[in-house]
Amino acid sequence: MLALAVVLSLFATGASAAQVKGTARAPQQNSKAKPKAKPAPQPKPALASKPAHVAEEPAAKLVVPPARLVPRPEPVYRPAPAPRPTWQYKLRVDGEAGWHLFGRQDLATHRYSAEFEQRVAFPSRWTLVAGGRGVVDGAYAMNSGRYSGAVVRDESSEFLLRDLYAQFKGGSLFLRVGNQQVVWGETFGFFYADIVNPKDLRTGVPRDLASARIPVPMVNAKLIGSSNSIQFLYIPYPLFNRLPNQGGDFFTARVPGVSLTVDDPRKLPFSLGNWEAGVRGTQLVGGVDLSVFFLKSFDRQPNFRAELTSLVPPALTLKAVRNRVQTAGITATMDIASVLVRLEALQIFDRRFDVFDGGVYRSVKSKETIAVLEADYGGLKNWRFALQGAYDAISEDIPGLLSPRRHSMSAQVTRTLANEQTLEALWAHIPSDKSSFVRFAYVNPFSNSLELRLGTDLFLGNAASQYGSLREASRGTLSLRVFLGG
Amino acid sequence: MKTVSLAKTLAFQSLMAIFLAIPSAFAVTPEEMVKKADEARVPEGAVTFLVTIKDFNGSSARESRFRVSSKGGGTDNNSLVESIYPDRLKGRKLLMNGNDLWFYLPTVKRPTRISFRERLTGEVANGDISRTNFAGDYDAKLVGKETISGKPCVKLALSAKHKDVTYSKIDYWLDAKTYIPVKSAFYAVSGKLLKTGEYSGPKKVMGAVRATVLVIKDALQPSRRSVLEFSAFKRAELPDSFFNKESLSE
Repeated sequence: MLALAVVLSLFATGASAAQVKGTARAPQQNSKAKPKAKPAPQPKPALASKPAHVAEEPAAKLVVPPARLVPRPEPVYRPAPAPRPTWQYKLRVDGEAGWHLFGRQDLATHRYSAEFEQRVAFPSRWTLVAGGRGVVDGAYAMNSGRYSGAVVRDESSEFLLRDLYAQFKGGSLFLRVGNQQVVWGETFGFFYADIVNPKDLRTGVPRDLASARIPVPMVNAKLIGSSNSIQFLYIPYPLFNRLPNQGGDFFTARVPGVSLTVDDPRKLPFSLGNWEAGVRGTQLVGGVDLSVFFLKSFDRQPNFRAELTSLVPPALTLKAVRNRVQTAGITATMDIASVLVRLEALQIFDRRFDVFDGGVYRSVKSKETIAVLEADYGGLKNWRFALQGAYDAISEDIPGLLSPRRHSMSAQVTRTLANEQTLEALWAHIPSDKSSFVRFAYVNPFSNSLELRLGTDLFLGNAASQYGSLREASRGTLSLRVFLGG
Repeated sequence: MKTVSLAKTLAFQSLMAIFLAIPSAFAVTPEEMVKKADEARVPEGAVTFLVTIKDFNGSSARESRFRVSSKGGGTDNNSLVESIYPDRLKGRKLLMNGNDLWFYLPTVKRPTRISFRERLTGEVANGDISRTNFAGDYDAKLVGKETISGKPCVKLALSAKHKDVTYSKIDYWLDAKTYIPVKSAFYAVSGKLLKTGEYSGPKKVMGAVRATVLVIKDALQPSRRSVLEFSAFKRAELPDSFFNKESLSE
């Protein structure tokens, strides 16, 4: 009886079959010799001498009533809804000093920035995210001999609102409303198919693509299946690229002997007619990752209308004009024997190009086609290689346009050293003007939250070329980055 | 008498046929062994678990931790690996959907397609952690029996069924009784030995004994090794859309 009671109590408390087997033997010995039952020895959790599923089942049959022999589906673990929202923050603090490498070898940047993000996840599958970035750059004040004008006013210190949105994720539905980033495209480096958010281009070739993107208020809805998705975007109030400021290293629109003023408010008057909208579908077909998209928007780059404001001394004002464009595109990625092949093709309709032809400054409408092909290989243990070629052409023959068809190419090599240190080299080249951009970087993660980076950005080529015109902006940098939270 | 004798003979032959058939019916095929070994590493179905990786390079060591959500089996195996430690790598995600793999970087905010053979950390390739079953990816052949640390083992030769796998060939030693993995040797397409794996830390997890520790060593420099510890297994509710790259945003 004692044995039966022990067995039943163990069954009632849901003891494992192995435990039941052990205790079923013990009461027989106890009933003869000892009035008090000792706890039965537990089977060792070490590697069983029999397969685990075989060892357990016979014992269970001794005690389980017949009705319980009917196999039941394994209970599904459902995480209990959190009684309170969960709070999570991320803080990244950067400090960077940089020196010009060509010409006057003086201070190029002395920049401190802190990027903060607070995330609150509610049990109802809603999440709220709010983030901001504060930047202080002392180089403009410390190096007043080089820097002047708008760059000193706008870039010495600033606070930028970053992501600020409410998000719902439930089953197949994803909905995000607010200031956010939406990223389309497959290739690395330059923003070809990444057309939704405007970019901050004031500091040259960006290192962190997410930091260079300017979050935009929008409604972003996705229906997500197991291997496909469809996304809808509605942008009620468009924003535009931040171009390099006058007086800064990356401002290249210089006309010798002419005082130039750029009037670019980077916004449109608020109007219901200024909406933008996009749709994107994705499908995974036989290992090929496909997407097609369409965006009706304003061109993120402005066109300019030139106004002569003074003859003596000569002064010109360039007023930004915003024009609508429509962009259709396709992207694809496939893994061919560990080589990742990425493709992007875009057609931009109704794009306007500013030309200076026969002494007349005018804006001409044309269709632009962009095609990018990239191959990445990371199959060697500590190496990663990437090659990219891009072709950009406009359909109309526009007199005065410097380069209606342009090829560019880039190569990137990354080598991982001991303790996760990395060496990176990037080379981007434009064959038509023989100019190049070269970036070297060494990154050493000193600790779990601290990273040191040494790097150079070199702009090479003649003064009239795309990269060569930025030669004076070439720099060497030393930066420290601290990561907290997350 | 002749009739009785014939009936007896037929009955005897039938019984013999049945007895001879029994062992073959109960014999475990190499494919089944690999499936049992997969189960002894990570349970089938929708589960979440933690993986702690300690990378040793001579005297220096680094630790990283990942949360893994896994579902399915065979080539329909899906998994999401999220980096949760150290702070500077938090938010990175690795998504495997069937034979395709994506990497999500918070500094890019976009999933990027990558290869299984690329390195995740230390001696660990992406596929070592995201692809937890061999049964769907490899053909198995029983090549012998060996004793490892006094334990009788079966030795299997696994060859890749398709190109989207981390290794083209694996030698796999399993406990001859339990089919819990004991050791493995991973080879490149050229036949060169890349790494070795040793499985240990048997624990009862979700109703079965499973190997919860895997030590991966560089074949040329054994001082370079990564120790993977699997823990905190839980059943989870993971819809198929959870493993779509479009769900990867934060």
